[in-house]
This record gives sequence, structure tokens and C-alpha cells, in this order.
Amino acid sequence: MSRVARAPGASTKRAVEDGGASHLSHSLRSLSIQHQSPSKPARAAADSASEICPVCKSSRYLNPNMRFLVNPECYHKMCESCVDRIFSHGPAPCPIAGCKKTLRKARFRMQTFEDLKVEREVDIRRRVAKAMNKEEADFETLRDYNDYLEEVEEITWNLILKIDVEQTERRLRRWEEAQKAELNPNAVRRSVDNGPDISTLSETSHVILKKGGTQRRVQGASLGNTPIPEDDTGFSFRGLKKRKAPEPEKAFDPTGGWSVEPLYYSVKEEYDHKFFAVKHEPKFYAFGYKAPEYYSHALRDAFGGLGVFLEDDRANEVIDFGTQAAAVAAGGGRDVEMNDVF
Amino acid sequence: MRLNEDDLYRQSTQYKHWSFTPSDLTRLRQKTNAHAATQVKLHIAQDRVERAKLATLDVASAPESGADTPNGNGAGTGANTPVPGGAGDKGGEVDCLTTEEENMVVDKFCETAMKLGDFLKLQPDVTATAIQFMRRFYLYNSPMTYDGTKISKTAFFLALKLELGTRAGSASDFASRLPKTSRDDIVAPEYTIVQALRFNFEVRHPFRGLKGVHLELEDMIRGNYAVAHDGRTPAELRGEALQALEVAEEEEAATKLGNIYAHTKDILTMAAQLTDAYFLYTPSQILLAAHLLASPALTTFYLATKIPSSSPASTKILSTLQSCADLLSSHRSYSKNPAQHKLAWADGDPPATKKAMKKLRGCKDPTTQDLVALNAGKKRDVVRDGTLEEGKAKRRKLNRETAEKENDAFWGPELKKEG
Repeated sequence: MSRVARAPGASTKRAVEDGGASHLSHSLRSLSIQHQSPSKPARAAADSASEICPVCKSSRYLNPNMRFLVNPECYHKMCESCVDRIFSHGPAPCPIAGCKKTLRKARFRMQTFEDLKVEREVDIRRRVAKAMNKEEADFETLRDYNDYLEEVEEITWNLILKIDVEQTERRLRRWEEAQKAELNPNAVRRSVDNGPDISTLSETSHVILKKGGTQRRVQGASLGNTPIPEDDTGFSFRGLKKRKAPEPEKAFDPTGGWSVEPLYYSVKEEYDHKFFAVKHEPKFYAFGYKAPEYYSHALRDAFGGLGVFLEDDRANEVIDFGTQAAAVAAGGGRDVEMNDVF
Repeated sequence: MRLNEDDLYRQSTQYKHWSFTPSDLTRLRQKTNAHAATQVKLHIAQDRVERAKLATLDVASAPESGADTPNGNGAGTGANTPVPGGAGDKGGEVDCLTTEEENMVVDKFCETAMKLGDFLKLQPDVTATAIQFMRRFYLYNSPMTYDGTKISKTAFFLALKLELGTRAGSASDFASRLPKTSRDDIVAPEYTIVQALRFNFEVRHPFRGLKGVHLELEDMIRGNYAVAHDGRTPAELRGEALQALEVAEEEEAATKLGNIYAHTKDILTMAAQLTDAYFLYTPSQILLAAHLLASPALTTFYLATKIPSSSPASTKILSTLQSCADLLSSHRSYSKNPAQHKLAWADGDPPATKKAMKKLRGCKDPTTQDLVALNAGKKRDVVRDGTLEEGKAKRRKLNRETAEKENDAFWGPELKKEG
């Protein structure tokens, strides 16, 4: 679905991509989005099971404003009041018998598709598409791109069909980190265990209940925090162009690259003299004034214009728009008449 | 993308607008003089006609009014009062100043300004800036048009504000330090001057760099100066510097350097101000020329450490410095041994200047003598020759009158409605 959205113009070329589609994918495409609003009861209320909360057994018939929510952790449906009741005080296990997932209230949401399998597939596809966001232009050839798409599809199906979920998740995370690092080398990859990533949809990403730090550590160790080689990017694709980081911005130069290089003098840091009497008084420097500034100013005044010969300069600028012409234009002659203003 | 000192100087307004070749300068002065002369003649003629008209009116009205005043101007028209400084107003052809006479007059104004600065105990920077403002002002304006004493007071006030910033004090403060001067006298010509200066307030004074030169000279005498361009070591430079100063010991040399510094500064604060040096040369050239006058041997040695004598620029710079030095030493304030009283030279004027000052009294432009009234008039739309449209003037007058009336009301004018 998202692939089509990504490169609609090139879809005809990509036979590989369509070959990977399954019955689920087909059903997904033909599905209409479920419009569920609290004011309007679902019109296809054929099965009464969908109208009764599996937890509290209350029926929509008695409470027309009832809403059903699911959590992407296990996709078990329950009504809003049950969610409020059970999860208001923090994460709690799923109340459905046999499901041992720990759920959080914040992750509950209205389901978009009537079929929860479709709902789950869409979520997984969204998550994979977020990590695997290469475009055709990122590859050397179309062939490489198609190979990439096939690999992406394989990852997606592995997650959907729950094959090698843990490993695939880890590889995806490595890949995301590698991408981020490539874009911005300054963002150092941190191998610190910052708790389980609740943004992932994986079955294994547990929300840890309020337990002791020891358990957390044990959990972390048991989660398979095996050291991963530094250069492991999770996946590697043939023909993928290296992403170029943007050029670092140059330091701002207020003088625009100009510098003053005196011909006749060079300023020293310190002179032994009596002119600048306050040179040892700290209060004089409170606002950043420096003695060398005084020296350089004095010397620049002493030699500024030594090699300027007005006879030569003015002779060369007979039709000089900068000075004489401007002087005439500004009223070099008219200045005399300005008393006529009165 | 590299700039040297000369490029930096070329960015200044002093270089762009206030530096001239001698011929340019003369041409500009001639132009100013010619224009001012025609204006003066025209205005004096107009003035005479008006006076004649008023005089006849007075004669006609005198018997009716029954006033028996001795000179018959009972109506107080002032028709028979003499023209301001009307020594030359005998009804004949107006004898205007020539360019040379104008120069002498301006120099005289500047000397007076220098005495004024001395009297007010202002720093030499302020005085120098004020004098340069005056010199620049009188490049584009004639002393026949604007009176030097009036202009100098305001030039001093401007220079004070420029050099001291917020410490300068207000116009009234400044006026109170001067005899027979009100705040209006100071403020009235301000805009006129600033406009003539083209809002170029910066004056690059040569004496600002004098300390820089002496920093380096002291360094040389102590043997701390870095290796010169020709590979002379600090020790060698020290020996040569002492030789140039004709002394053997560092302490003597320091005293002598101090004397040279003082002498140079005197030249720069007097002779340089009262000649056209600022218009014709760059500050650095003026400074080194003055230094050359104060101590030829030392300055030559110093320049040789800066510019290799083989370079083509060297001869050119030296000749420019020499001509500048000639200009400075030609002024009568220049003396090889500075006198105890520094301004003693200015007590007596040369006869030509005296003559020119006397002549000036007869050819002043009658329309620009009362600057305060002019300033007030400008603000209150007093028009001559119908410059301002009649309707506009009327409307403004009406507005003003209503505003005044409203202001006089007990609770003040009505508040303006929002929006």
C-alpha cells in the first residue's frame, strides 16, 4: 500500500513487488475503511458479539455511546469504560483470558479497519515503511531498487507472520540508527539500554511494569542484549548510494572575507610608554577594550593615507562618479545658494 | 580581499569630499566667491530700494502722525538706521571681497576661533575640529554671507558634541560660557553649518597618529623594535635612532623625544589648522611633515625604516612631505622654538588682513545677518519672493493661530480623538 504511494509512476515496472502480495494484501486493498462514530451505531451489526464488550459484557444496546478500543500490543477489543477502569492506574495485564501482554492506556485507540488482522498488517507496514524509506533515486539501478523492495516485503511478511520477529526487529532498529548516523555523524550512537522501545509494534517489546531495577537489568540481559558489531547496519542493500551529509555551515565572517594588512607597521602586544596611562587598570578593560586596539588605532592614524597622493588620485578620477560627480549632484554648486531657502 | 592603511583612508569622507588638488581648491573658492558676490550685490540693491521706499513713506506720513522726532522716523520703520556694519554703504557700487581677501578673512576667523578655544579651555581636538568645520563651511559659503563670529560659536558647539559626546552639555550651557550669547545664537546656524558640511562630521586629525609614531620611536630607542624591512637588527636601529637624536643615553633621548613630540603637536594644532593642509594632504602626510619640521634627522631615519629608499614611492612620499612641510612652515604661527605664550603670534594682524576685514564690513549680505530671525522665520514659514504657495501659507497661519488660541484656553487645548 505504502509502496504504491511512494512511487506511483514506476509501479508498472515493478513485477517483483506485486508478486509478493498475498490473500491478506488483496483483502486489504478491497477493504473499505470503517466509519465508526459514537453517535451512529455500526450499520453492519450482524454479529452481536461485536456489540458486547468481552470484558464487562455490557452491550451497545444499553449504552449507545459505547466505544470499542484496541491496543496494538495484542489487538484485543474492549470498551472504553473497561480501559478506563483497568488501565487508569498504570500498565496492567490484558484482561482477556490467555493473553499475558502488559498494556498501557495511552496506546489504546479506535480501530480503523473492521478486520483486526488488517489493522495489524497496516500498523506493521507503517512501521517498516518508516524505517525503510529509500527511493528509487537512492539506488544505482532499477534492479537494485526492486531487490530492495522485495527485501522490504520479506521483512514485512516476517513480522506479519511472526517469523524471526525478535531478530528482524533488532535489525530494523540497527538500520534506523545507522541511517540516522549517516545523516548526522555528530549524533553518536548510544548503546545505553534506555528501556524497551514502546514505539515498536513487536510482540516482544514489553512494557515493563513498575518493578525493581534488578529485574529490569535481568530483563535487559535476557532480552538478548548481545553486543552487536559496530559496523552492523542491520541490513545491507546492493547498489544503495551512500547518503551525503549536508555541508557543515561555515563560520560567519562579519567582514565578508576582508582583512586589514598594514603596509608600514605591525602592532605589538605591548609597548613600553607613558601615553596610555590606564593600561594597567582593570576597570578600563571591563567592556572588552584592549590595549592593542589603542596601539593599532594610533598607528593606523599615523600611516593612514601616507601613500595617497591627491594629485594622482584626482587626475585619475576626472570623471569620477564616486566623488566629484556626487559632489556636483549633491549640490556642490548649490550649497552656496542654500541660504535662498529662507 | 586585503586592505592597507591607504585603502582604509580612501573610505573616509575626508578623502571623498574634503580633499582637493590645489587647482580644484582655487576653482571651488572662485566659484563660491563669484556666486556670493552676485548674491550680495543683488540683496544690497534690494535692500536699498526697500529703504528708499520706507523713507519716502516716512516723509509722507510724518506730518500726519504729528510726530516731531528729530530724524523723522516716528513710525519706527528703521529705514534710516544704517545697514549692519554699513561703513561701505554709500550708495555706490558694492565692493565685494576677492577670493584672496576671503581667504585672509577666513584665516582670521579661524585664528579668532583658536583664541576662543583657548579662552574656553577646550581640548586641542575640539578646537581643531571646530576650525576644520569652519574651513569646510567657508569652502562652500562666503564670509560675506555668513559672519565668522556667529558661525564659529556654533562650529565649536558641534565640535564639542562630536568630540565629547554626551559630556558636551546643552546649547544653553555652552552659551552661558560665552559672553553676550544666547542659546538661540548657538542653535540658529546649526542646520546651515551641518548642511554645508554635508553631514560629514568625521575629521581625521593628524595629531591622532602622533602617539603611534612615538610609540614606535620609543620602542626603537629602547632597542625593542622588530627587525626593519632591510634586515637591520633592533640594536642597530637603536644606535641609529640615538645618532639621529644626537644623544648617547636613553634618558636624554626620551627627553628629547618629548620635546619633539610637543613641538610637532604645536605645529599640528596651529599651523596645520590655519593653512589648507587638511584639504591638500592626508593626515599621515601632515603628521610626518610636521615631524620633519620638528626633527628632520629623526624623521628621515624613521621613514627609512618604513619605506625602502630604493622604492619609487619613497621619493614621491618624501617630496610630498617636503611640500607639506613648506606649507606648514610658511604660516606665521610656525616657529622653531615654541614661545611661552603659544598664541602670541596672533595678536597683531598683517595689514592685508586688516584691510580685508575692514572691507568685509561694507559687503555683508543684508539678508543673512540675523541668523536667529532667519531660523525662526524658516520654522514659521516666513516667505520671500512667494516661494511658498499663498494658500498653503494661509492655511498654516490659520492652523497656528487656532493652536495658539487653544493653548491659551484655561484647560489647554482639546485632546485629540483617537483614530
